Amino acid sequence: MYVYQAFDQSVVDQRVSQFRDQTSRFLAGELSEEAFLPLRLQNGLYIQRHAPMLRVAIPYGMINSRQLRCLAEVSRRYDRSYVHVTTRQNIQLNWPELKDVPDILAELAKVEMHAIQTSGNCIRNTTTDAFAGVARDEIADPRPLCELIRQWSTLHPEYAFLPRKFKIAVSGTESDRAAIRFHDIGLQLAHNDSGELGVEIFVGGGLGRTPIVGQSVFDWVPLSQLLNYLEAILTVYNLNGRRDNKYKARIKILVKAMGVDTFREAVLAKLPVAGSYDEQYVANKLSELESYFSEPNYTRGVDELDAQAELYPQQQADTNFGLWLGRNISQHRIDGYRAVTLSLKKTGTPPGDLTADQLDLVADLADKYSFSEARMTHEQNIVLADVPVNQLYELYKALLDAGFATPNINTLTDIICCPGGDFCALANAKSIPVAHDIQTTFDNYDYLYDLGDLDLNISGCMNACGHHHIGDIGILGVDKKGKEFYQISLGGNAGYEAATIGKILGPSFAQEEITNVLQKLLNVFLENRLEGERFSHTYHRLGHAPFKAAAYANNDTKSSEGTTHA
Amino acid sequence: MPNTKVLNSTEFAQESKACTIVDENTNLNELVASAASAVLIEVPAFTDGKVFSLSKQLRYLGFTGDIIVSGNFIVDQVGYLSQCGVSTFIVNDDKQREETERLLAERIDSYHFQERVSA
Repeated sequence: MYVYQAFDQSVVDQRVSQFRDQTSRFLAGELSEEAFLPLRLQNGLYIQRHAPMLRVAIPYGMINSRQLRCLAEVSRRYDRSYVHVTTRQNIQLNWPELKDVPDILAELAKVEMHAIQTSGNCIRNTTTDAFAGVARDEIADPRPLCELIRQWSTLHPEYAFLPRKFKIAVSGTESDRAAIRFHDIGLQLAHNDSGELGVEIFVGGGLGRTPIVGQSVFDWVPLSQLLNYLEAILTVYNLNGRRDNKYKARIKILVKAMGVDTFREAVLAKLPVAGSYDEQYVANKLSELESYFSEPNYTRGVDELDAQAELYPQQQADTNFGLWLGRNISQHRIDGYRAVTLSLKKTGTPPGDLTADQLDLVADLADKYSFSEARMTHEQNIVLADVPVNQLYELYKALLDAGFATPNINTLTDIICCPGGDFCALANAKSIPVAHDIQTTFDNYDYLYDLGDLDLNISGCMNACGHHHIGDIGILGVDKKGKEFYQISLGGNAGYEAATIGKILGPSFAQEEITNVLQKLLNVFLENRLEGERFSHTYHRLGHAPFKAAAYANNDTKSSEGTTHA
Repeated sequence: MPNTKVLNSTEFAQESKACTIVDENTNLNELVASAASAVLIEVPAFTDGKVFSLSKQLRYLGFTGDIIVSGNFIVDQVGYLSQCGVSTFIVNDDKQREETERLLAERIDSYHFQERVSA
């Protein structure tokens, strides 16, 4: 992974002293609350329901064992000994003290970490596929490009006071695992007809209260020109985006208002002056960055069939290991290796949370089994990307002891979930207890596996941090006259080809009704699916009506007129 | 490029500099081609970051005159404003002016590639 150069370190160190200065001026009353707000946000610091929250950047999800141990130590010293993995592949500390934050940032800076631009109206952490560099279906490794964008966007002086936040995602595979069409800018790596690598640029996607699928604005742009295009897009947005209404301030609203063609023309008109990055310079920079993502020292020449044969008796002897292999392991482009997903979705633990001791353990396991690196996923799990097949069983046993081996990856209980009303000041409703109800009710693995891959996403409010719009099933917390209710949507899809926003089922439900309604929706799916279909396929083939009819059928549930709320 | 200066309104008025007002509706190409030697960008609210793009574009188009900002920017923005090409800051409060000068003098490195590209 990328290693800081002297320059990176000096930038981050300077930022720490700058924020220390700003915090002390704020605490001394020399800096107003209003002026301190964007400064603290751009250093990842929110004020939440109970305490500040500090969001630490994990660039495109890549983290090493030293950094994991530092996070563990920081969470013990300054917080409550746990962290939360977010859908932008970052981590959050939920209980730091404001006065300690400069010290926390100084600790993080020692291991090449920071919280810069993890919040605020600026360019946020760039995200990508957690299997980048090891996926078998990869067109090209997206990480060098992500690092280029990280360096370009970090402390970019022009884009720190945009109309609203700005998120970029990069996909290096045909089956998009980074939800690029739901980002302000989505970049899809692709070769042109002459085999040169470039990107298709999507603009104006997003979730939140106005979910929109991003549109293709440029079919193909060479990588050496990418920064110029990014700057032209950002400049058009900065000058023309709405600032009068925060709900209409994202670039998606601007693109929609202008129309894609007019927007494209405006970008092209800015292109000559927006960036002026020398193409050769960018090309050289990219080659330099590629060297940081070169292959680790793989053991070559392992026979794939032999490796699999070795697993067979272990699976026979330990059926739970077999289940885990079936769900939590991904293919690797190198024979004899697998990518392992650590499930942070154990029943009874808030989705995406892990303790300081667990962080230390992930660091140890990364050292022992996966070249000292790990990745945070946007589904709020952790991936060890380079595990030799002959060490899988040993790793499995260690993960089992630590509570990371729940064999539920990509199933109904691998829930994406925001912190919700338990922590977040914006939330209308709690989301963690709903996830808990679902995990407790649907605990039979035969049933979960029979359902197949199914994304269930929960957000505690319409800001959609839990990505409810793009789950096969989405659950949104809403407030009705001071009471918490939940709206269900169906048929969402994060993928690039079939990017779809889920459709709202109907009136919302009380928390205690959710699992019952879910069961009915799943029954419609199970009774009607064709071979190979996942939930959203069946939903789109059958249409909304049978699901709606089943969910609101007046039988044993309380989802009758008396208790449902529009 | 002009040296960076911090002035209060009185000092600025004494310079009696002819300024062209620039906002998002200004045709920047025409302005740079004209004889204008100083431009003034008024910042309506510190959260309104148009000033950064306006100033940077002027520099990229080859404008070498004075870019003056006044209005509701905050001292913690002056580093970024300066990196985007602003050369004169109008600050009336003495304490704020001191802070502005202090923060402008601080060395803040930036990944802002184009500086290194054009070097």
